[in-house]
Amino acid sequence: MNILGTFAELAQGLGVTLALFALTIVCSIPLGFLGSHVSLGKNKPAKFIYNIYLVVMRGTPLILQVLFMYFGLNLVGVHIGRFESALLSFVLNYTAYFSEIFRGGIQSINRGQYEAASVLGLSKGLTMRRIVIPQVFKIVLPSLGNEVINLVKDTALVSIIALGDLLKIAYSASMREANIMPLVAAAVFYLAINAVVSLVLKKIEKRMNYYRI
Amino acid sequence: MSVLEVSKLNKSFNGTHVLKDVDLSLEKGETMAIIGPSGSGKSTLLRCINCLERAEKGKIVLDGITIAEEKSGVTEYLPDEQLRDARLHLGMVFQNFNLFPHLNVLENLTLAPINVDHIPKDKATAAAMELLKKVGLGDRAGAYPYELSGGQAQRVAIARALAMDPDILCFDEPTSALDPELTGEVLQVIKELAAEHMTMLIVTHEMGFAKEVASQVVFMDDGRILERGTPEELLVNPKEARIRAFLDKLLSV
Repeated sequence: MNILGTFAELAQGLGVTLALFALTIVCSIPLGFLGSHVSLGKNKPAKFIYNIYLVVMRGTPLILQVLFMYFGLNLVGVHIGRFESALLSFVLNYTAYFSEIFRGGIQSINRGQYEAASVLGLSKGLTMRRIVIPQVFKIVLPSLGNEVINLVKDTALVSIIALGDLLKIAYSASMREANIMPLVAAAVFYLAINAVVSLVLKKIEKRMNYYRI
Repeated sequence: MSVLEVSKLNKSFNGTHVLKDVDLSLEKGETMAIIGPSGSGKSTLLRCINCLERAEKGKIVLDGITIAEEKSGVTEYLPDEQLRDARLHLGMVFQNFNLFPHLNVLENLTLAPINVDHIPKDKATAAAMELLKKVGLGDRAGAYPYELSGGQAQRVAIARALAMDPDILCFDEPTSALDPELTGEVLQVIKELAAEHMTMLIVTHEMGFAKEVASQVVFMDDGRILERGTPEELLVNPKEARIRAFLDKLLSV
């Protein structure tokens, strides 16, 4: 087995996995926050449509969504790359989960906080930025962390559309070399990523401990 | 001159008529206590004056500014931005303090002056420190709300309301959420404010306190103001049988 060559291959797959992971986080956390406002808003038609989106995203397997996105778009003549297609499905899926997490967080903010802000003359925007978001962030951090850790592992699903992520590469190498070691290496990589993610999450949680609600 | 003029105010919650044609006027420098049995609408009245609730009918004039007025049978409020400015004439102290838990005591006081009134940070901080000293908490500026006792938290809440320099300070049962041994320190602060002729509107259950601090007492029952007078008139020799019954009940406990 060409250990160095296989390792280089795996490193490339790791890059794809990390890129998918990072871009999904960067896009879907803000989108999820915005989406939670649709859920909590007063626009009934928008809420209805948004709810259907949530039900579909949370009610069907992500792997199926990845397949639908890739082959479905190709069927209707939209040709985007495997990575872009995978990213799009992941962002859509994770936005739905983050959105629900944020909705719960925002709903758990005591009405008195809004009232205190309003009698002090704070505008809606200021109340959101200075009062609600900082508190919501602390409340949702554990659930958010869970999803982030899930996301690291979920990226492996993109192998189904033959995108060369860590799992796909490790699996191919393993088959080619008739050796299980590439898969073991992949496992170690996933564990390492999540070790770092957990550490970062713990650090943030600790920093948020300066107050209690 | 009246700083607050409320006339024919009506408010319902899901068909329950909570305020019925309430008239109220408050003079500058006056401390008015609103008393009455629970469910009589006294907190709702305060919340309507503060625009935390919107009345369906009636008129509210604050410092000469008409903030709510009946137009063809329905009360209309000022547009949002003007209303927000007008409401700054009122300060509010809540039963549950409603301090911002993620901000320390000083930040709780300076948030609105800096961001709403656009006062420079150093000036706002200096003013906030003065207020904290005034309520006896000059040494707790860096503390977070969870580190405070209920009495301290409520005194911070009073200082926070004062930081916006309101013309009228409203209290919604400021001692009801406190342990009995902590009510004294809060009442003391309110008493000092009364001595400085701060205009105040206080919904309270503390009859002794109302008697001592208020220049006017209003008794509410079933959404109406039954009687208004000085503490002596109302609490010692009430004309209304309903008030006598209420006071007797309190004293017999």
